[in-house]
Amino acid sequence: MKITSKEIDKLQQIAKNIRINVIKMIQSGQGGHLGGSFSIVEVITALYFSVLQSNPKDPQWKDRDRFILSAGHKCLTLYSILAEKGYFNKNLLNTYGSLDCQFPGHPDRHKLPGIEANTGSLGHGLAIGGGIALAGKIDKKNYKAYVLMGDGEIAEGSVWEAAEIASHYKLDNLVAIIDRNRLQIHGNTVKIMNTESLSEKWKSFGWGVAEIDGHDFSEILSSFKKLPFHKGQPSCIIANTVKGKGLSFAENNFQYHYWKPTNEDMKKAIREMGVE
Amino acid sequence: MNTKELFDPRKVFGQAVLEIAEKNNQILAVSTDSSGSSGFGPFKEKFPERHLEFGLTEQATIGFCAGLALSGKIPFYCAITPFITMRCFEQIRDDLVYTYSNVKIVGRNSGLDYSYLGYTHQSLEDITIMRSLPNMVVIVPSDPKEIISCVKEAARHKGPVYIRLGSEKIANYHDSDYNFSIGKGEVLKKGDDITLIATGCMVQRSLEAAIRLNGLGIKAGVVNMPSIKPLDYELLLQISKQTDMILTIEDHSIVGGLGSAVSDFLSQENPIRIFKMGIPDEISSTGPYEQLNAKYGLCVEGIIKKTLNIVKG
Repeated sequence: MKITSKEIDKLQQIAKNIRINVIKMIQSGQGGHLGGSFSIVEVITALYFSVLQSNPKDPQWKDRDRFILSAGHKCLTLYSILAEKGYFNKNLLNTYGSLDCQFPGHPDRHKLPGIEANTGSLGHGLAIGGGIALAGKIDKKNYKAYVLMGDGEIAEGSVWEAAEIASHYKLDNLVAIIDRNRLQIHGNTVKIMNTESLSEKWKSFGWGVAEIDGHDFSEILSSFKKLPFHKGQPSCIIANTVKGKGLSFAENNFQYHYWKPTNEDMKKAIREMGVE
Repeated sequence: MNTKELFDPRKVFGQAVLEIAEKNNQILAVSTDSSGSSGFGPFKEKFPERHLEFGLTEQATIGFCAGLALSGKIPFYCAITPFITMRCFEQIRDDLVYTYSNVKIVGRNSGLDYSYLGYTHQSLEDITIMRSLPNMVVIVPSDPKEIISCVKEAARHKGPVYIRLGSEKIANYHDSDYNFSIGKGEVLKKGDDITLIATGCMVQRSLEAAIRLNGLGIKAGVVNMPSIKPLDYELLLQISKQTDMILTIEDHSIVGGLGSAVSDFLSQENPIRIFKMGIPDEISSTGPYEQLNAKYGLCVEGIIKKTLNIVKG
């Protein structure tokens, strides 16, 4: 199916709203993981609004596609997207940061509809998504499991255990998305722990791999449409992104991994993002 | 079952999982390169497509089990105790307990069972860490009948369960109509002088010790405590009102195990003197199984000696 400019315009508008929601949440909660939340906006927006088969009115629908945010700290974007999709009232987002709110700093499936697993400690999500995909194979279901990881995260050994199991069981209904923004808490991912060459590593583990611009809706959608890249193999999409994308002073700056804004910074962000 | 016949607890366990799997097609057997030693041989033969082998990947295996459970499956994952409880402890904490996944993890060759293989393979801390997790059910069955019953209970319970098994052959002492219940202990013998509270393979040793103590003029009660979490608070309170002293016995570290669980509760609700038998807070040694247990007093003679010391003080 051809990707139309109308669809891309629609997704761009949603992505803009998602970023505004995230800024508002950070304003309410006086802090949040901005950098990674902004680098995944386009990929996750495209996934939820053009790809995932899911039903906000029936979040536990058995045949739904599943999305696991393994890099749980990027949850502000997920919360915003679930609100935009209608899983819950968007006004609830304003409660982020308050005592016992439904929006902890890492997602909790007991607190919100649409969250599939409790993540936060890095390196867990691929195995959980793999188990969901394997259950789908056993039950002969058609759903897919998508797992988003950070590029710093994949230094965790458990990721590679999961990668080999997925390949062993030929889980071509499992999709790993790597948000390669090239920055982690303390700086450049390659300098902190060089996990390159990503593409070759995943291929050598028996995965089909595609590398895309993670902010270009056209590239994102066309890669999703090609899934699985190879029959009988799990698929890995390496999305090259910019940490903090969309907020000029935060872009490519690891110090905005977690942002605790000053009043001045927040005013600048509100002005730049067009937050009302 | 003949009361004197001895059974391999792992085989009893595997057979019990197979029997419930025949009635419930969501049950899966999961192993990490040790399906035979985990008692899953007959299961693999009967349901090859429902046995999942994940190789030596304990961390990811817990995550896979979580994902399978979130999709309606009921995985029974069995492996050597330290590897299935400690290497992947964070996955158990986050993927099973916090996510609340319906997964049953089963540690085998627990305690000092790998007596020759040393500290890496012996498991002395698993009860401590498992009972620290909110909503985790921790079960240590004491004979084949109880293993079968606890597997059924674990499958019925919707949530994570940890079952601790040995590998040394054991006899039945329960009647055939015995049924284990999560959260329930069992009085095996009444006695006013002291109550021995034991778990797992220490229960039958404690019973024998109590019988012999009777001949020495000591009336020792015996309680089987298979459910370490939730603990049978009602029974403990009752015991604490009937005897002045308790001796807990477990093939596990004295730090954080059954003895600690009993003490945690009674120290606040009805403080009485509680003594603990188990592996002391040190690196465990190696040697023949019975001799190694005896080194730490975890034998009939050792329990008698400790009880006499306490009672005659």
